[in-house]
Parts: sequence; C-alpha cells; structure tokens
Amino acid sequence: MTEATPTTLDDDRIASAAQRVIDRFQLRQGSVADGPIGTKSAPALNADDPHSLRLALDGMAEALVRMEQLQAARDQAFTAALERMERMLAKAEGRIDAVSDELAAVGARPAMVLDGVRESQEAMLSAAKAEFTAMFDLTRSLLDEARHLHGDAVRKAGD
Amino acid sequence: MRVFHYSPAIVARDAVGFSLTFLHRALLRVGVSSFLVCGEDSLAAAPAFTRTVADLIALQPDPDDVLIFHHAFFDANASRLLELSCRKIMVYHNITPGYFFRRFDQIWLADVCDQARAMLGEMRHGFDAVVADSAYNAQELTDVGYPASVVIPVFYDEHFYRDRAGDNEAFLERHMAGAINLAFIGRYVPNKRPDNVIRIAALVKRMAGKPVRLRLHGKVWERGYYLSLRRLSEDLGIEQDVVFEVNQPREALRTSLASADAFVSASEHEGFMVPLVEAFAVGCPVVAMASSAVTETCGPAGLLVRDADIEHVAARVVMVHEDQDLRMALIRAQSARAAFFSTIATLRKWEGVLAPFLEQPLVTHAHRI
Repeated sequence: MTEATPTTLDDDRIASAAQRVIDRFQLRQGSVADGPIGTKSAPALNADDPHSLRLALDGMAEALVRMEQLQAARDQAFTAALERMERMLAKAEGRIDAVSDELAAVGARPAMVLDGVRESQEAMLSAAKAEFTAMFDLTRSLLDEARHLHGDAVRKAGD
Repeated sequence: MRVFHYSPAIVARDAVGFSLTFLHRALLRVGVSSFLVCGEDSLAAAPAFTRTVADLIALQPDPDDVLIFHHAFFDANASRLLELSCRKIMVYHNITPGYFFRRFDQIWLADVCDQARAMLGEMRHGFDAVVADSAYNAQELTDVGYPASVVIPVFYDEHFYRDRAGDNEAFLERHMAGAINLAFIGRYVPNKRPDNVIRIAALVKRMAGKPVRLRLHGKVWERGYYLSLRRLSEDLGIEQDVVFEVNQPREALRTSLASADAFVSASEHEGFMVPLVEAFAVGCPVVAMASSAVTETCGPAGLLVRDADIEHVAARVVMVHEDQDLRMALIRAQSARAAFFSTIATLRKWEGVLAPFLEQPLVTHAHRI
C-alpha cells in the first residue's frame, strides 16, 4: 500500500486518522476473514490541489462504511457464538433433566435393576461432562479473542 | 450358539444397517459368534465379512442358534429362512403402504411394498420372539396376528451425533449469513412429503420476511419424483433457497442439523424416524407434523403440529426462530428425550430379549463412557 504524503497540517491530521481507521480495519479483518482487508491504495495528495481534502474525506468515508460492515459481521459472529453456547447449555440441561427423572424413578424399582440405573447415570454423566467441556472451550476461545483485540487496541492507542 | 443378523440388504449408513451392525458388534465384543447375512444381490454394498443366504444355509444353523430377521421391505429369501431349524426373532421396521407411491404413479414400488406387507401376515407363526422399533410398528404386527412384541428402538450413532468436531465453524458461518436455516433428512419418497417441506420453506420466507435456506438430504428412489420436487421449488420461486443434497456423508448431515434453525418434518408415514433422534442429539429444534410413529419418537420433545396444515407448521418454524426461550426449551426437552434412545438404554433392552442366550451382559464398560 502506498503511504499518503500529506504536506499541510489539515491533510496530515486527516491522513493519519484515515490510516488509523485502515489499521483498525485490517486488525479486525485479520481476525474474521482470510488475509488483510483489501483497501485501495491511498492517493498521493498534492498540496496545491484544492481537491486534496475532499479526496481524503472520500477515502475516510469509504473506510468508515467498510468498518461498519466489519463491525456488523463481528456482532453477528458474537450473536451466533452466544446462540451456539446457549444451545449447548440447553442440551446439557436436558441431559441433567434425564438423570433427574431417572433418579426419581429409582425408588420405585426393585434392587436388581439398581446396577442398571447406576450404569445409565454414569453414561449420562460422561455425556454431560462432554457437553460442558465443549461449551467451556468455546467460551475460552471467545475470551482469548476478546483479550487479543483489547490488547491490540491498547497497544495501538499507546503508539 | 451363533447369532445371524439378516436383512435383504445391509448398508452400514442407513438406519436399519447401522442398527443391526451395531448389535452384531456388541455381541462380538462379549464373545458371541455373530454373523451378518444379506441377500446375494446386495453383498457388494454390505460390510466386510457379511455372509450370503446361501452361506447361512450351508452353515446349517441348529436349534441353539438364533436368526434375527429384519423386515422392512419385500424379501424373496424369507420363505427359505423360515424353514431353518434355528430360533428366530423378527425385528419389524415397518413398510410404507403402497398407496403413497401409487398416487404418484410409482406402480412397481407400490406393488412391492404391498406384497411385503402381505408377506408380514403370512410369516406370523414363524418366529419365537418379535421385536418392533416402536409401539406403532408393534400395533401393526398385532393387527395381523403376531404375538405381543417387545418394543426396542433402533440404535443410532449417539457418539457421532454428540461430537461437535467442526460444527462450531459451520454454525457460525451459516448463522452469520443471516438466513433462516432449515433441514430435512430422509429419502426423496412421497410418504415423507419433501414437497410439503419445500412449501413450508416458501411460507416461512414470506412470514418471517427473511431469506430462507432449506437443505434437503436424502437418497433418490425414483428420478421422476425427485425432479418434480425441483420443479416445485422453481414454481414457488425459491429454487435459489433450496439445496438438494444426495447421498452425502454423514458429517454433512450432522453439520446441517447442527447449524439449522429447525429440522422440519411433514412426513405422513414413519416406523420410527431416526433423523428426529439425531436432531435431538445434535441440539437442532424439531418442528414436525404429528403422524404415525413421529409422535411416539418425539414423545414430550419436539414441536409437534397436530393440524395437518403446512401454514401452521411454517408459523411454528417462525416462532422457534424468533422466540429464543421457546427454542432453548425445545432443545432442552429434546436433549432429555435423546437420552431415552441412548446406546446403553437400547442395549439393555436387547439384553432383556437375548438374556436366555447370553453368558455375560451385553453392556460393557466401553458403553458407559
């Protein structure tokens, strides 16, 4: 990507702001899609050109639209991830319901079948553990991603 | 004692094939001499080491041996097998009545199904024990003169459908696309009413005002009927929204279920309907028309529509999509219901039937983890 070469104070500020926006885009894009964001090359602005400011603003507006799209995609990803976790939780609750039902039925059964009940509950316990493990793994990966984004944002702000 | 599991065709990927192969392996694991047996014509598609009917007859089963005879379609070998001197257990998976096919001019298929149902009555005195997948199937047997059946559901691949490997990514990808994802799994045959599932998808699209993506997974039995479904999706203007999948690997089925907003069934005739249980295990909300054994398999789970009106089904699909509390309550009830069909529960039921022949329990530690 060609760097903008601002020659006036206003253009310098605008170009820097636009560059920060682009950097943030690339950071976000890199975490949700393959490869960096495909932004077009920033034009080398001529200080004598009265349209320089307009060009820079156009570029920034375009970048902002793209940023909004990426933000929307991120929101959808988080919403979908939350739905996935809620489904896992509901499934795990269902399995616990099944164990509870079986426990309630134990009292009514003869002693001979208690071994069978125990086996069944061991199997259900294994299944419930598997459900929770998957849910926790997904939560951890989401937390790791959020931590990574936060760390990058803090680092960028300090630059 | 030897146990022979017979079906005219054994395909490990279909419901009957998976179930009988699973029981066969469970018996092998506890040291029983167990064999798979199929018709000569179907040997190429059967699992390794499957024997043919000719092999079985050559092995000369004696009265100590057990033949587990699976009945789900017309069977030209039935009379030869019933003459064997071993003990025999019938496992009835139901046969689609011919009229479902006749009304779509699938005359050959209709006649074969009707012959198979007629054969059922003729064989009623040939078995020492009778097993049915569902109470619905058991009632059909009783109606043609069989003794009381033991109801044992088919095995489904519980561990596979509970495993989420790769599903998270597909789930996020499909949900982020913004469409309402619907799925149905079942052969492209008239009794399963895939045509109504397509109509429901079109209605959901209009009712919810959102894009819809319907994924139909199945095998083609009759090309003309399959093509009529594609034409229907064009007539309804949703040909871009319906994906017809044929003979896909089961990983694709699991992904489709895991990422769907609802599994939608409009089937009018089922002896059990394994995909319902698979949807329960995966955590996919089920919206289904109440019919035949569908009601029984769903039990207290799934959103059953008793009114045979596709608009009502579509409205419930939209509700499930929009109401998160309803969706999660459904998934929770379905997960509890899936436990009823767990491998260990089904094995224990088989243990009850086979106990007189077994020296050790069928349920081993491997089934508990």
